[in-house]
Amino acid sequence: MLAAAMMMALTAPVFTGCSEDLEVPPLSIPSSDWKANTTIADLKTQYWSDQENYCTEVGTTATGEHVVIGGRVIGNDITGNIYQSIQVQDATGAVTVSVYMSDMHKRYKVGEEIYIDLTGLYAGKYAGLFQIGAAGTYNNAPTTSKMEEATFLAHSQLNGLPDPSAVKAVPLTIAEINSMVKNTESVMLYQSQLVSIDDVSFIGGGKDRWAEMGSSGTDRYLIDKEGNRLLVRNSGYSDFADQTLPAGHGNVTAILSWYRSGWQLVFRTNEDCRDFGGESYAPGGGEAVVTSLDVNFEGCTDISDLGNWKTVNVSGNATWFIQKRDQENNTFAACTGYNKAAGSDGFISWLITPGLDLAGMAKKVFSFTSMVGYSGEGTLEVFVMSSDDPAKATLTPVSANIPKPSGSWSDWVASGNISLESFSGTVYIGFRYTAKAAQNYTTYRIDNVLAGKDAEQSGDNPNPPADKSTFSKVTSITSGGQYVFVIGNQLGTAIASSASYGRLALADVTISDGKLTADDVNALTITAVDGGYTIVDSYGRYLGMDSSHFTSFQLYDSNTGNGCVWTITFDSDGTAVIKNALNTDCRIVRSGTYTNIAPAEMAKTTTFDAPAVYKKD
Amino acid sequence: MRIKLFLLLLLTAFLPALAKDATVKGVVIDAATGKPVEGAIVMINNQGATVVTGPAGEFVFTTAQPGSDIITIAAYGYNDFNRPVTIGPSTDLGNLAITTSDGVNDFDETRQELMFDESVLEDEEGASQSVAVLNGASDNIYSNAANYSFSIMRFRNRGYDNYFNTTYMNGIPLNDLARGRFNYSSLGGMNRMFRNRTNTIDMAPSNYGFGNIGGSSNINTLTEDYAPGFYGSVAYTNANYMFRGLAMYSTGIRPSGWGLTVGGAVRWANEGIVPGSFYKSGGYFLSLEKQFNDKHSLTLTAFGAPTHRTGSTATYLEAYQLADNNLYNPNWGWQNGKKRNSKIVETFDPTFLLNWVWKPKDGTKLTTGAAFRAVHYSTSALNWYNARDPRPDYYRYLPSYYKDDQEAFDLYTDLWRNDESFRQINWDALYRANFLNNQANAANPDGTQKGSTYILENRHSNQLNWIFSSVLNHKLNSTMNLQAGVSFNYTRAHYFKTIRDLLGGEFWLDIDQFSERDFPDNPSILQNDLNNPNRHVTDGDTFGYNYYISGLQARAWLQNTITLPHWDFNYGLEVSYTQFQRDGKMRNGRAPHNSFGKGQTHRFDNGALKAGAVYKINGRNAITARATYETVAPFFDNAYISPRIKDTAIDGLSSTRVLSADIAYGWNYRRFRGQISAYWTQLSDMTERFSYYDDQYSTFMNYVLKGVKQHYKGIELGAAFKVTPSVTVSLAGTVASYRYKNNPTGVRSYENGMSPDTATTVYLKNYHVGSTPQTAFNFGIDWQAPKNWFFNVNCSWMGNSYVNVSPIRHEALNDLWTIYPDPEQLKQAVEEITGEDKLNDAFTLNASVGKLIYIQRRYALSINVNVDNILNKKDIMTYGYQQGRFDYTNFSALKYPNRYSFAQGIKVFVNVGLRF
Repeated sequence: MLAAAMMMALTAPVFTGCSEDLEVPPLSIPSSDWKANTTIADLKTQYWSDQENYCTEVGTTATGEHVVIGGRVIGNDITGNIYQSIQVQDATGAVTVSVYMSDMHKRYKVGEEIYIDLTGLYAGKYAGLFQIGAAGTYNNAPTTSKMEEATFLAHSQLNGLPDPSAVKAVPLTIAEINSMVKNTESVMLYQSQLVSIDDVSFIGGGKDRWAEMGSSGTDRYLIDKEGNRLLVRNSGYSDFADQTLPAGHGNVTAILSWYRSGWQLVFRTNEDCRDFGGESYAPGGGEAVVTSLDVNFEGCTDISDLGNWKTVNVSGNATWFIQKRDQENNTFAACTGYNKAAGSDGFISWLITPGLDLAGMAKKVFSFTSMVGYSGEGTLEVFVMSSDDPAKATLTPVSANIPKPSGSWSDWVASGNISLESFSGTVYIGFRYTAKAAQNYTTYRIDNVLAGKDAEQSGDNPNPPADKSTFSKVTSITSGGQYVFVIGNQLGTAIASSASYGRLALADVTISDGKLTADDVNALTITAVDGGYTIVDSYGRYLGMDSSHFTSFQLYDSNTGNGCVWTITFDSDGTAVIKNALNTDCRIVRSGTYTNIAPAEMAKTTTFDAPAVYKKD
Repeated sequence: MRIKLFLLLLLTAFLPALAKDATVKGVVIDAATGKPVEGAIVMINNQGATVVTGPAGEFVFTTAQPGSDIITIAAYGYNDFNRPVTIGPSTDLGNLAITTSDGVNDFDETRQELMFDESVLEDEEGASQSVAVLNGASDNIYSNAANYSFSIMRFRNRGYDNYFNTTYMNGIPLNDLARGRFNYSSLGGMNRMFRNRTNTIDMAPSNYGFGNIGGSSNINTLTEDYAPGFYGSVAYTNANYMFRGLAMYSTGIRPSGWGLTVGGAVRWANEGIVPGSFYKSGGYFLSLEKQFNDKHSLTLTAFGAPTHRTGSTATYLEAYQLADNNLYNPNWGWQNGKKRNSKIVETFDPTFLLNWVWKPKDGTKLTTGAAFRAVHYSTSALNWYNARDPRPDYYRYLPSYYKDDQEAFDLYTDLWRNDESFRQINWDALYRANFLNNQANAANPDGTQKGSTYILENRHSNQLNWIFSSVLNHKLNSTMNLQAGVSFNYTRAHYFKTIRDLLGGEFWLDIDQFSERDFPDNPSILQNDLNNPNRHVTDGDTFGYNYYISGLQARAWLQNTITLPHWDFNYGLEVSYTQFQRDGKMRNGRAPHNSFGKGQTHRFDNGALKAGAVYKINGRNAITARATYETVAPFFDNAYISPRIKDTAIDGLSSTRVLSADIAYGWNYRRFRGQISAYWTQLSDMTERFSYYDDQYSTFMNYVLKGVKQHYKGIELGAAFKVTPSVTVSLAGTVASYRYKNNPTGVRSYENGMSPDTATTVYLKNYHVGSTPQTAFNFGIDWQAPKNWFFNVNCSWMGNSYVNVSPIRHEALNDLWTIYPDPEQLKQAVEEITGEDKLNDAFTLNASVGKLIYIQRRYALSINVNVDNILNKKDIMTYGYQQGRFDYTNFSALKYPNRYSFAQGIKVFVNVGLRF
């Protein structure tokens, strides 16, 4: 029995056993002993150039060491809105680092401490944004592009777990940001920085999506209470592209990036919009009654984006709408009867501004620019109204420079300053589109509505004042002379500088004693060439024809051959017979009762008027 | 150096003789056969002196007191023998015949047979299962419980892998050189023919071989040891097989000196307890002996058991839950109205032994034997080329794969639950795919022909073993016995695969589709045999891989056992030489210079030293202490990184070092006996090998864990108390801890050769070794009722069995912080990934009833009914392993869940046997 006890004693340790805790693998946390020897500000100072695209290889420091910057990650591709780049911030500024790498957010989380050895990498700009990357080309010119993943991994080290609280956003206002656009030092300082902007709205908030799904990028705008606007660029490939922009006003945090000549704000995630609610700041003058207007319709997709503007359709359903032409990057308001249903009185469509408090206006004047396209029914008139209800208000028409329809698009025509001195109290400006029911309708567009200051001060360019000359009727052509074509007492005017084809719209002109006064812009230079003459307008474009269009001029930068050659003879009644060398059946005439001078197929033309020719003195 | 040690020990063995009183000696023999009974306990009751009989049944008391007393002889399987004696100065009791307690024998053996067939198992990919060591009954109470009662949870004695237990037949060691194991299924369920066994527990010395730290057993098939007569039995059970029939007839040794025992067995089930399974096995046995005289005898033994059965697979808990059946079997599907199983195992190990026993004089016996065995093992499996995985429990066909899509999740759950064919193999679809290929071929006879998309292949591992052994038992004097032996084993193993069924297709293209995908521009890397590239193979052709491994092992050992009145000593040493070499028959495109032809020969020298002592406090109490130190050569099945492809062995292949010690206290009173022991074993420099599909690198990965150290330690208890002469209550149990004890090195080897091998530390310290319960208790009541009724009721509780760990999860995960950037969360994530998973604890209640009927004094009819797991618990997990595949994208431990297999619920075994 003693033996038994001894046994138990001996075997006891087997049980109680020393500590037998399961050994787990050590926690793997990245660590680095690199130290920064250059600040981001110094880096930018050293490698900055005003060129929009360039790249420079980063060398060593003055003491021959590798250039090492250190900081925290402030932006990554967590939603895909930022793509293949990260933004790094230190105490002096921020910089973008571009890498061909997917899912960078997994390792480069916001708040992660990172050290980058820049020696051997490239610093430079792509489309004006300073960044670290690799040497690349764009349109055969050097630029900074993305570096390979392996290169980046070899040149960077992470230290510790991410600490998002160590990341700082710089508080700025839109006005401050916009004011820095031309200041190189400020641009250098703030490019790629994380900024927070308080008390702003999205134009289209609550209605529009962040971006067109699948698009490479969509422009949106932030607007503050004062109407200052900041471009926001969103990717169609981000996780939140098809979510709706937040409505109301709130605070945002985003990366202040740059494209070509201006700022663009890039969000890391749509969750960086905080405390949105309440009223939306509208670009069109948020209040019902304002003391000034400066509306260029940019960033709007609907009249309602403007705030307190109204549309009223007295007859028909041709509502004023917002349109954007991507080619000119211009947004404006427009109205047309085309494809709309006319009412009992045809179309009568009003676009009415918010109320103007004349007493508070700096200058009692307003102006706008307008453009017309197509031909047919439809006129634009402008009224000063005593209230915003066209049925009940007193309507006072005002005269403004508005282009006449010519079949093709006109240029933007400045209305000129329209005085409001003779009015008092609160007035509304109403733009009225009127058209009888017809087969063809014109389309009118308006833009740059200003109230409270002169048109010239808005910064947008109206047409410069035209030069005029005197023209005398002739019955023969002298090569190199400047001529105009006249039908009756109407002059064929120049085709819009932006058009690529068109007709010479007829405008009234006073003729006395065989002489008239016309703007030089309408003059056509006729020069003799082999087989006939070329006709070149004041913009340097050859008026010609191609083989598939027989009722309009095609405009060319250079002589294309027969299409640009015209034979010109004169009839016994003093009118010109101008035939095209390519389409020999076509003559330049006023066909039927059209309001323009253009080529026509004579076999199909029953009534026409041949033009008279006046030469510049 | 070792020889010197041995001689030293030999010298110290000659202890001075102790003072003598009276001497009592005798020989214990079996009343029926007259054969000596070894290991019987002889007691002089009132003096409390106890001795144990030796190999010749002899015993001697040297310190007896003269006078009257009672001699009691107790031996397992025999009725207690009591005889009054008068002790003089030198008393020779002569032969003392003891009778077998047949009923108890049969009864226990029936229970054993049940457990025996339960353990017909096979290796699963990625982890090895262990067969519970079924040495047979012994008088060690704990050992019995460990063998029978805990086997439902695949209990391994002391946690050791099977290669620590050696099985001999007539002194010839039969463990193979490929994995060091003995395949019990080669005995074909013919337990009756192989019931004559001597079991050696743990490190105790034996007289038939050097043994092994986990114990050993010697199956005796010498005809002379079979009781003459006929035995037949039929049995019904609801397990892997349903019906078993067995018949055996022995002539005994006739006056001519010839003796013959023949027998056969059949086990059959058209469908076993597991759906879609079947079992068809037959066995034959022959033992033919010629006794030339009382000195020489020659025995020929031949046996084999061709078996055709289905195999099992461990699958996911989710699959079991959806199928609402813990025996859910994903390996079968309906075809033409019948269940067809894809995993068919065919085995046949015909074995021949020729033994010559020479007894030149009393106390000396030389047993020499030669054995030849042809191992045939093949298992079938589906294979596919550029197609959907046909296995219904592939993780992408489970609802959990769609957990982010509620609709798909619900759809898949519904299909799994309600549509049986959805969760089984769709054979028709496989045939259809192949048929479409045939059609495409017919329509485009000049273009590239398409082979089968799906096939059924056979993976073969065959061996030819030539084994020789010779064992000498020599009684040096009254106290010392010498055992010595040599053995040789030459094995030629052949590994290859063949097409079993093209499933309606025209041929199979013999290339490796993963290499084709990874190296599309390299036509040679995807060849399995560059000597025969792009072969079209059909039914029966060898393809894929084809290599031989030749192994040779030679052992020599010496042992001395000393029996003294108060002490027993034993010590022994063994030396061995092992070598093996691969011979590839295909030049594999992924290792063109290192796969074809004979490879490097690997050689190992090993030795073992073992010693033990028993201090006999008095006749009834003894303390035993034993220790072994040995090195074990690697087994060639585990020695190569990727033997199907190349000759490369594990870098730094080395022998495992084993140090084992145990101490026990045993008591043996008339009514109360038992033993309590404590053991401690350390294994170091072990190597483990896994293969799995690695998602991160999209290739098969061969993973080797090197330099592993493990501790196996615990306490064992076995005690039996005779409440009444016919009622015995027994308790057996173990509380143990089998753990990894260091952080070994893990080496990854990319099967597609894309990158060089990488080594990393694997943090496994203190993790439990898997798949055996580390705590187990059994409590039972036996009643030998009058009129030859036998009753037994017992219950077992088994727990602390762990899922086999995958070393992948225990490496430092360098990118885990990107998912959990917060330090607290990171720590928690690591703990979750590296957490240990346990198998369910199990409680079973079992009962047996037996009746022995003697008819006309000639026939003995025995009827046994055994019911295990009476409570019908179906949640007993037998085995589980963590997958090697790991989700490196999101580090979710749940993406590739563990795989488990379950035991069946209630199991019934009814056996009727007739002997005459």
